[in-house]
Amino acid sequence: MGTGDNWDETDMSGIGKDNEAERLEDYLEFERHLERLQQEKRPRRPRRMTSGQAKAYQMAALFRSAAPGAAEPDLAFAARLEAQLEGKLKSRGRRFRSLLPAPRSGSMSRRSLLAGGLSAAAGIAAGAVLGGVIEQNLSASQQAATWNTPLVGLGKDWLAVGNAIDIVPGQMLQFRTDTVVGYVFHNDEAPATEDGQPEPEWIAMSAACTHMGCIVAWNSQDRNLHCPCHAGTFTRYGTPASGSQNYLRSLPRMQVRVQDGKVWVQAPATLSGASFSGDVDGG
Amino acid sequence: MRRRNVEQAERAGAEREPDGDAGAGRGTEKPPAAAAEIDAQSFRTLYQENLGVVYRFVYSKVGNREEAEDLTSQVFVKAVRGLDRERGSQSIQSWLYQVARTTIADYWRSFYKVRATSLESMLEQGWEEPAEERVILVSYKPEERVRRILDLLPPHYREVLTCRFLLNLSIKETAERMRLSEANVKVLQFRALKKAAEVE
Repeated sequence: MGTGDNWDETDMSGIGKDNEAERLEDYLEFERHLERLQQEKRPRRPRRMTSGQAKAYQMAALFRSAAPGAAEPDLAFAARLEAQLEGKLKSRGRRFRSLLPAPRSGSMSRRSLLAGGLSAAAGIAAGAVLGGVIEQNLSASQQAATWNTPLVGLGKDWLAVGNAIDIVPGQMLQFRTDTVVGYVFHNDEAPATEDGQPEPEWIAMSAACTHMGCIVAWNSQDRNLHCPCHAGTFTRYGTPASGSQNYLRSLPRMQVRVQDGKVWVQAPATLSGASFSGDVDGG
Repeated sequence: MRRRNVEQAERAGAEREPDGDAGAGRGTEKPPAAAAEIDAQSFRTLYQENLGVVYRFVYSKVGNREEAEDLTSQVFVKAVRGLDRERGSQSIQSWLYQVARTTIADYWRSFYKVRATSLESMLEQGWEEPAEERVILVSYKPEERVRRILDLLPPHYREVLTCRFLLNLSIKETAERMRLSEANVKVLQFRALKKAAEVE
C-alpha cells in the first residue's frame, strides 16, 4: 500500500462523520468494488454490509450509469440477445395469445387486417429496425421504401395527440402512448422526394431510432432528429441525414390526419383494457 | 409543455375515431380472454422499442456491463415466457418494467444477501426506489436523477462524485484535484454516496 493510502484524519476536517461505524476495510473494499465496475465486470460479493452501506453500493451503480455513454447496450450484445430470443420464439411455435384487444367478431375489421394481412409488411418494418443492429448498407431508395410500411402490425388506433393550431409550421411535436413514442411534424415546405412525390403537410413518425431503438430528440436549430445513443441523425422527414450511419433506415411513418382542429395519429394499439395516456410533450 | 390526457376524454365518450370508424377503435367493453395473436415479428418490435430503456434501467442498478447484459437478457427471456399469460390491464411497458424490477430484486437478494423472501418485504425494508422511478421505462433518465441528487449534496461530496463518476477520474487524479490524500478520497466518495442515498 503506497503512502497515498495512509488515512490522514487531519485531511478530513470539515467532513462530517457518519453515524454508522466505519472501518478502513470498508472503504478499501468499496474501492475494489468500484474498480470492478469501472472495468465493466461483475463485482465480487461484499463480505457483510449494513443497510446504509448497501445503499451506497446501489448509489454507486446509479452514478455509474450517469456517465456519458456508459449505460448504452453494446451492439454485439443486442444482436446476440435478439438471436437468442428468436430461437425461443421459434421453439414456442412463433405465435402467442395476444397482448392486444381481440378483433371484433362478425366482421373483418381494420385491426384484424393489420394484425394478419399486413403482418408481412409490419415484419419488414420490424426487421428493418432490428436489421440495423447487424449493419447493412442500404440505398436511399431502400431507406425511403420503409416510409410507407406500417410501424407495427398489431392493430392501430386513431389517437388525438394535440391541437393543430399549437404545432407551428416547421416544428416537431413529440407524443407518447403506451406503445410508441413519436413525432408529428407540421411541414412548412413541399420538397419533392427522389421519386418526385411532394411531402405532405403533416407527417407523423416513430421516434425510435432504427439502429437500436433509442428515442431521437428534435433539434429545432438544425431541424434534425438526433439519436442520443450512437449519433444517428434523421431529417425532419425521418430519413437518415447525410453523413449519418449508412446502415440506418428511415423512421417508420404513421398515418396522420387533422380533423376538428386536432391532430390524430394512427398508433399501434394499446393492450386490452389498458389505459392510455396521450401526454404530449412540446417538441 | 402541453399535456393532454386522452384517456379521460375517451372515458367521457369524446374523441372517438375521427372518421367515425368506431368499430375498429378501442371499445369500452372488455375483450374476450382468447385474443388475437402476435407473431415473432411483433415481438421483435417490442424488443427493439424497449431494449435500450430496459438496459439503461438495469445498468443503473448494477453499474457494470457484464451484469447489465445478464440481467437484461433475463428480463427479455422472461418476457418471452410470459407473453401468453394474463396481464390484466397492464401495458407492455409497465409489464416489462415489473419484470425488470423483479429481476433486479432477485439480484439484490443474491448480491447483498438481503434476508427477504419477497419483493414486497424488501420494499418494506427500505429497498424501494424513489417514487419518480416508478414511471414508464421510456422516460427513465438516470442522469437527470443523478443531477438532482448532486444539487442536494454539500460541495465536497458533489465534487468527489463528479470527479469519480461523471468525469471518470482515478482516485489519484481526484486526490490531486481536491488536494486530498488518496485514502481520504476513498473515504469521501463512500460517505458521499451514503449521503446521496439519504438526501434523495
